[in-house]
Amino acid sequence: MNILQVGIIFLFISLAYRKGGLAPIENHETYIYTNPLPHALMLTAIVVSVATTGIALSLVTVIHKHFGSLDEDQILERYTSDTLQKNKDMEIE
Amino acid sequence: MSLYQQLFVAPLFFSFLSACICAWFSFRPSKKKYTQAVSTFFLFASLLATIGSLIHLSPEPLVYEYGGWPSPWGIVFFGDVFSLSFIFLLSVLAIISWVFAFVHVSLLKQSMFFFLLFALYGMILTQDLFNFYVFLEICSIAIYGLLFDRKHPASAWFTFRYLSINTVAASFYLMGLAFVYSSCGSLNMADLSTLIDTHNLTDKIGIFLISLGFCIKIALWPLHDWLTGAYGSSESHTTAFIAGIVTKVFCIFLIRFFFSVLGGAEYASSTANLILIFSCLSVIIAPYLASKQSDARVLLAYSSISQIAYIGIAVGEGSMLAFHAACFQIFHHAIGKTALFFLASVIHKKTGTYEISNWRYWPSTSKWMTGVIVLCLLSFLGIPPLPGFFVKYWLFQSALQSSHFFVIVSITLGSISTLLYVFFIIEQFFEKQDLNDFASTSETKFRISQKICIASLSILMLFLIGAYPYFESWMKIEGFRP
Amino acid sequence: MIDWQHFVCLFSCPLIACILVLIFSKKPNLRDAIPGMASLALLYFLQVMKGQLIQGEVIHWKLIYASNFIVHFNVDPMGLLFAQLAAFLWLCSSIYSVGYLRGGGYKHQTRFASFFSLCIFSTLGVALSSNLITFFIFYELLTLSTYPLVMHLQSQEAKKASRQYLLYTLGAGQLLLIAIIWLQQLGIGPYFGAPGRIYDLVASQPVQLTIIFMLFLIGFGVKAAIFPLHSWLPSAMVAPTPVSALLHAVAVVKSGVFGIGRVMGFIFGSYALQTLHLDILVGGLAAFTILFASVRALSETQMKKILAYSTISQLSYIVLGFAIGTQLSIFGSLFHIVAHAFMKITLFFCAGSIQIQSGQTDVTKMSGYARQMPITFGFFSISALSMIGTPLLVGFISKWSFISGSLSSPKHIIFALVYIVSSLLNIGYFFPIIYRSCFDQIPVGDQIKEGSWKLVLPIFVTGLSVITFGLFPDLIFSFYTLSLRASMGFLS
Repeated sequence: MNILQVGIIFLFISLAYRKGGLAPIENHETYIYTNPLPHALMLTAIVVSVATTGIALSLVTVIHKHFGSLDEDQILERYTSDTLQKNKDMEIE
Repeated sequence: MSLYQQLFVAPLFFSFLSACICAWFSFRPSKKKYTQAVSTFFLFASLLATIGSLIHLSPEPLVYEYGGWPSPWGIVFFGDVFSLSFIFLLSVLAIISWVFAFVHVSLLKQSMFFFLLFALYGMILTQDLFNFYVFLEICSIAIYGLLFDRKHPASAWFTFRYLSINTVAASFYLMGLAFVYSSCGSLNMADLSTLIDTHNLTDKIGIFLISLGFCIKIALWPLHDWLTGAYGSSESHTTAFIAGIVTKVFCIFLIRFFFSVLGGAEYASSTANLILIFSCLSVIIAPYLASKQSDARVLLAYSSISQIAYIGIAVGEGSMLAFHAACFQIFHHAIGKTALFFLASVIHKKTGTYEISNWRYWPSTSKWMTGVIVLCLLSFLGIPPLPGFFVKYWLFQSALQSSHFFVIVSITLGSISTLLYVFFIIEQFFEKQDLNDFASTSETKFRISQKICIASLSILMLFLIGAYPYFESWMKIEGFRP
Repeated sequence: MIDWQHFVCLFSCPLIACILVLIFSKKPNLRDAIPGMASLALLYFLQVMKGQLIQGEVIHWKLIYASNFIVHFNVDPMGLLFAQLAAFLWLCSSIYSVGYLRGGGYKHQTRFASFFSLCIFSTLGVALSSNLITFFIFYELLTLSTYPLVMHLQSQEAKKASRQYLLYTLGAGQLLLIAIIWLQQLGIGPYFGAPGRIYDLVASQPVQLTIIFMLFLIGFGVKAAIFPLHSWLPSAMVAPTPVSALLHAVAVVKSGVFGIGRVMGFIFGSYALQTLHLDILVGGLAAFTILFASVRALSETQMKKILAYSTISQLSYIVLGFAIGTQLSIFGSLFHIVAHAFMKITLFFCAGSIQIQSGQTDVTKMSGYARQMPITFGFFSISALSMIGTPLLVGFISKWSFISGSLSSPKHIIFALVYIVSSLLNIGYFFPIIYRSCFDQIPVGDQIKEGSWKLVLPIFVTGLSVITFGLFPDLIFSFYTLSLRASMGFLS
C-alpha cells in the first residue's frame, strides 16, 4: 500500500518536471519553473498516506492482540470458529 | 454574492463544526447532552440550508468559488439540480440515522460521523478532482473509525481489509488523475469536459484507472469481498448509514464523471463497456450469493452490491434514460437499504444475533414494520408500482434502444435471482414460532424515535412513487451529450 | 356519476374490505361478513357500469400519465365480463371460505380474508385496464397477493409450491415487461385496440414481432398454464380449497388467458397472427396442452389434482379458441371464461366440502358418498356433465361455439377433433368418480353428512348457475351479450 502510494507521488512529481526548469520558488534568473501544482497536491497526498498508515498500524496491533497472529488464514480460521462458538452460546441461552 | 447563493455550502461548514465540537468534548463526556443538542441543531440547519438553496435554484447553477479564485484555477463548489437533490437526500438520511443510531454512540464516534458527513457533502458538491480526492480520503478515514468497534475486536480485521482495499482504490483514482492531468492540464470537472479527448491513449488510461478505483469502491462483483466482510462484522445501525449513503456518493461521482465530464458512454466506450459487463455479472451473481447467507448483514450487503450494479449498468449504458434510472436508483436504494439495516438492528436487539432465521419474529413484533420490510424488499425486486420497478423500466428501455441484449438478459436473470433472497426473507415471516422461545415472548420496546425514523423512511419510499412522473423533467446534468 | 367516481367505488370495495377485515380481526363473525357485503356492493356498481356500457357510453379513467408510464382504466365488454365474474364468485367464495376455514379448524383466517380481498382488487385492475402497462401492474400485484394464500398452511409442501409459483410467475413477468417495452419502442402503443402500425410492422419486422409475441406467450402462458409452464398449478393445489377454487380456477388463471386474449385480439389482431403463422403455433401448443392435461388427469387419484389438470385442459380450450380466430370461436372463448369458472368453482367447492366432512381426498376411496352427501354430489355431477358439454347446461354453449368456429375456418378444422377427443377424455375421468360415489357400496363405519349451510349454499348457488346460465345465458349479468360484443371488438 505504501509502495503504491509512494509510486503515485513520484508519478505526479515527474509530471511536474519541465525541461530546464528550476524549483518553483520565485527567482529572477529564469522564467522556467517546474509546475508547482502537482507538488502541492502531493503534499496533501503524503499527509493522507501517513494518516492512513497510522490507522492501519494501530488496527494491526489490535488484530495481533486479539487473534495472536498476523497470518490471514489463521485469523480467518479463528474468526469463523469464534462466531460459530458465539452462535452456539446464544442458542443454549 | 447573496446569502442564498452561498447557502448550499453551509452544510459543509456546519458538519465540520459539529465534528470539531464533538471531538473536543469527547474529553468531557459529561457535557454530552449539550453537544448533542448543538449537533442536532447543526444537522437541521444543514437540511434547511439545502432546502433553501433548492427553492432558490435558478436555471443558472449555483457556484461557490473557494477563496475567490475563479475556475479553472480555483476550487469550485457547484450546486446544480443534480448535486442539490443529492445533498438533500444526504441531509435527510443523516438526520434519520442520527436520530436512530448515532445519538447513542460515544462522542468520538459522533465526531467521526460528522467528519464523514462533511466529506460526503464535499464529494457531492465539489467540482475539483483533487479536492474530491481529499474528501474521499477524509470519508474513508472516518469510516475506518466508525467500523471499528472496541467491543468486537474481530471487527479490526475487517476494518483493516476495508482500509487496505479502499486505499488501493483511492490510489488507482489518484493514478488515473495523474494521467488525466498530464494530458489535459486541468483538474476542474467542467473544464475537463471540454478538454478531455477519449481517443487519446493517456486519457483512456486515466479514465480506466479512475473507473477501476471506483468500481472497487462500489463493490462491483469480482471486487466485492471486502464489503460483505465489513458490513457483516459491525453493528448494523452504524452500517446503515454507511451502506445507505456512502456507496451512493461514490456512485454519484461515477455518474457525474461519465455523464458530465465524459458526456455519455459514447465518449468512453471501452471503459463503459467493461463496467457494463461486470455490472451485468454482478446483478446476476450477487443476489444468488445473498440467498445463500444466514447472517442478515451479509445478505443485505450482497443485496446492496446487486442494487448498485444497476447503477453500474446505467453508467455503462450512457443514455438519458439510463441517467434517470441511475439517479432514481440512488434515491431508492439509499432509502430502502437504510430502512432494512435499521430493521435488522431492531431484530438484533430483540434476539441477540443477526441470523436471518430470527426474522420470523417480525410479524409478532410489529406488523407495520413487517410491512415496511416487505415494501422495501419488493421494491428491490422491481414490482410495479414501487420505485424499483421504474429503475428497471428505464433500464430496459435504454437497453432496447441501444440493442444491448445481454443487458436485457442479465436484468431478467438478475430479477429472478433477486427473487431468491427476497422470498427467502419473506418466507421467514411465515415460519412457525416456538412459543417457548425467549425471543418470541419478550417485549420489544421501541423508542418513539425509532418508530418515527422507520415511518419516515417508508413515507419517503412511497413519496418516490409519486415523484416518478416529475423525475425526468427535474433531473438534469450539465455537459451531457447523448 | 362522473367517470372516476365509478372506478373509485369499484376499486374501493375490495380495498375497504381488506382494511376492515384487518381492523375487525378480533370479531370473527363481523370480520367474516365483510367480504360478502363488499362483494354485493361491488356487484351493484358493476351492474350500474354494465347498464351504461350497453347503452353505448364510454367510461374510462386516466390515473397517472407520465411520459411512458400510463395507468388508465377503461370499461369494455371483455373487461366487464371478467370483472362481473370475479365479483359474483367472490361473493360465493367468501361465504364458502368461512365454512371451510372454520370447519377445518384452520388458523390465520384474518390474513386469509385480507389477502383474498387484495386478490380481487388486483383481478379488477387486470380486467378493467385499458393498456398493457396498467395490466402489467395489476398482474404482478395479483401474483403477490396470492402468494400468502398459497403459503397459508405454512407446511414444507406449501413452501415448495409457493416458491415454484413465484419463480414461474415473476420470472414470466419480467419477460412480459420486456415484451411490453419492446412493443412500445416499435411504435405499437400500449393501448388495447388501437391497431396502429401493426400492419406495416408485420411486413417490415416480422422476426422482432414474432419474438415479442413469444415473450408475451411465455409471460401470460405461465398463468394460463400452457404446456411446458403449467406445472405450478397442480403443486399450488396445496393451498386451501377456497384459494384453489376462486384463484386458481378463476382469478389467476383466467387473468392469464385474459391477457392472451387481449394481446392476440387487441394488440396483434388476426391479420398479424395469421401472416406470421402465430395462430398455428399457439393453436398447436394449446391443442397439445388440452390432450396432455386430459390424459394426465386420467392417472391422478387426488381429487384436487384431477381438477387442476382439468383446469389446465379447459384453459387451453380458451387459448385455442383465440388462436382459431373466427368470431364464433372467439365468442366461445370469452363465454367459456365465464362458463368454466362456474363449473370449476362448483367442482372445487364440492371437493372442499367432501374434504371437510370426511377428510377424504382420494377419489378411489369415495365409494357411495353420493348417497350420504346428495346435494354436494348432485351438483358435482351436474358440473361434470356441463364440462363434458351436455346440452342445456352452460358448458354446451361454449363447446358448440368452439366446434362450429373451428369447422368454419378451413385451416383449423383439425382443432374440432381436438375438442371432441378432449370431451371424451373428460368423460373418462369424471364418470368414474360419479359412478363410484353413486353406485358403489359405502365402506362400513363411514358416517358423513352434508356440511354446514355455509358450505352448501355456495355450491347450490354456483351449481344452479351452471344450469341457469345454460338455459338463459344473458340473465342478470348479460354474459352472452358481453361476450358477443367483445368478440366483435377483436382486431382483424
